[in-house]
Amino acid sequence: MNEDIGRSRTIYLAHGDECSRRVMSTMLEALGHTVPVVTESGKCLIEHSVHCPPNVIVAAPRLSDMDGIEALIRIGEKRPVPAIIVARSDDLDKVERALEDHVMAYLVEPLTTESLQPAIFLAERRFKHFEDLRRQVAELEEKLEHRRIIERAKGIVMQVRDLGESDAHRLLQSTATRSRQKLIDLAKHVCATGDLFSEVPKPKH
Amino acid sequence: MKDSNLKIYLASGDDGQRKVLQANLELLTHQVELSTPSPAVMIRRCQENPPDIAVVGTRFQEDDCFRLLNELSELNVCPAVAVLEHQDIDRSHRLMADQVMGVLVQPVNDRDLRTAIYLARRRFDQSKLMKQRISELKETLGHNDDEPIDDESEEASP
Repeated sequence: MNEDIGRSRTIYLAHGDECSRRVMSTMLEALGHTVPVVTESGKCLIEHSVHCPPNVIVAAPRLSDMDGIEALIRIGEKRPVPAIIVARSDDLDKVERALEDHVMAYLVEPLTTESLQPAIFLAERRFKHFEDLRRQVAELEEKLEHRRIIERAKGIVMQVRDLGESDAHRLLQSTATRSRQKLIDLAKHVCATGDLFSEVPKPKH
Repeated sequence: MKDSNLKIYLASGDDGQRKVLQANLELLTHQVELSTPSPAVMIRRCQENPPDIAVVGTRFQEDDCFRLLNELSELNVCPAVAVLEHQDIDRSHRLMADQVMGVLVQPVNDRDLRTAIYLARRRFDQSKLMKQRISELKETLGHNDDEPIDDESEEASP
């Protein structure tokens, strides 16, 4: 068996029906996974998943104390984990209205080990793919925001010190170097205070 | 809400499998506008006029389903759902493709296809939006696609 497909994962299982829980946990264990949390309770699933996240969550929409999708949303807000929803065919309309970001596979009961195995693999892969895209978006947005702040700081320095754009940029850079700060931190300081003159000697003309 | 009337392209090397899949897709009220045993035809049609979703089975005469799925993913024009056989599961690590958004294992019925198609479409759209956002941000930043995303706020070096 391929190592990546057949690799043992830690999986938390939540299902409102006792028989289904027993069958599914047996299937997951038969596939070589560890299933330390098997519960009917959404609150229990949330508590364990936030405190000690598993590799994958398998959850049904109907739990004893809350909606399974609501539980996944709450987990996702705190500690996103790849999730698989297993629904009865009469729940499909309801589930499809509520599917949220971290549900990466969606199976209909009754399950088979054959359908679970690739679903677990796919859920992890897709989750990593989306996490990577989210990280890239966040990094680029941060970089753009930093650039805006630096530009604003440069504008302030240009105005207050009567400098050209490149001289103002050089002054900010050299000040950051001397004070061993990141350029963005210095730029934020300039934007907040309107000057950096307490820290910067005036250039000689 | 249930997806209906989607344009679907279906490829499978096995006539019987293809007929069963087509019947299940039509039961879901989708339009199977292409049903072919040829991976090359699937690729060409997807390039020319992409469907809402591509469904890819197994047992192709000249090619294997994983190569077809990965090629479809590179095209990046539609989401794909793979319908594998039990003996293919161990090879599904070859699905390196990001656009393969659903994997089912035979035998499948209309409910399995419904859920896989539903989620595949939504995740494909989500992925497309995020990639678009990344391109827009890179363009605004004048970022070259080959460059890593560096941090210009690094501590200035002395």
